[in-house]
Amino acid sequence: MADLWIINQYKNNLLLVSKRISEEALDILYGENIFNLYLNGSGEYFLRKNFSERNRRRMRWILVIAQPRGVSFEPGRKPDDAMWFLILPNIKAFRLVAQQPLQARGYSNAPTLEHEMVKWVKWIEPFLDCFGRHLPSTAVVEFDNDERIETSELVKVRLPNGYRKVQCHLAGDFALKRGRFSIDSGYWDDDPFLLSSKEFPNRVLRRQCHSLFQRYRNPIFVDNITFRSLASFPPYQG
Amino acid sequence: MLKTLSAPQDKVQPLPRVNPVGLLDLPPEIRLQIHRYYIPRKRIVEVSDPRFEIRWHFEEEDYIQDIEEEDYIQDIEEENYTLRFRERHPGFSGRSLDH
Repeated sequence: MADLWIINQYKNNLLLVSKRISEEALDILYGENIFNLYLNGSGEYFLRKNFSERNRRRMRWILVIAQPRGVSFEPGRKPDDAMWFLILPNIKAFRLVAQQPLQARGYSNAPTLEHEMVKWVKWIEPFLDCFGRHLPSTAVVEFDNDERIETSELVKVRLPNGYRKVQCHLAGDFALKRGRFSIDSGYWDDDPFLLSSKEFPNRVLRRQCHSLFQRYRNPIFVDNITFRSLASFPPYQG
Repeated sequence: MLKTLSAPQDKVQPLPRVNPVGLLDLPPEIRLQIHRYYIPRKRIVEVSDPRFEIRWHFEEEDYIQDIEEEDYIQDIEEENYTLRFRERHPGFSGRSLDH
């Protein structure tokens, strides 16, 4: 696992200095970064695969995204309770971005929106139960679902220690196609920056494309203001 | 001090030897501060691909700006080159230099 963290093995050898230094450094490495996973994707699998149990216990900031699609979006799927039991009790801040189905799919014989909602509820309920069971009352729990009533009601019941509604700019805007990632923003239009710069003799346009390209490479990034608000969580008041 | 320096070589008292202070001798709070300086922090790590090759998030805009400035400088240099080339070759009217 250590190899994955090390960008340049000749410059980042702090973890190899000694056992004591390594322990201290790992506490910072895992405890002061935000770990982002997609519940509907292979988030749980990668959390198990890429991190040892000891390092998972060191995590303090978790950002979970749940969407109604992906390989793990199967109604009735059980969360990895044993893994969450080790991670969540130590968590300082837990943020859940949930995107419930908003419309039925377009293909013929596609399930209706009601069916999609039932599927969504069946899928997310066990996860919410699991989070509600293991999250300590001291953790700051934040929830972003773009103010949708159905999921909000679910979360109210399933997270008994309470939560705070937020608008997550870290990942929520991107996942929920909101703000600078909204449909109207042009972000989801065809990608002009894939064309070569020769096709864009206009310097300004070329720069805009370059900016878009930068965003495309790292669609999820922290901006200054958001992280400041995330870092300075007020003490939790249930 | 002056006395010591001006004393004959064989009478000079050697300075007391002080053991060097290593990282592990420092108080843990200071050591942690040092670690924080070296270790990537406050970043979003994708659990599917855990690495820190992502840019430092505060530098997102700065980075783009830097690139633009470089680009701009390059453009200016190209323009200057075009002007210089035209000064040297007044009869040349190649269109390729316009780009």
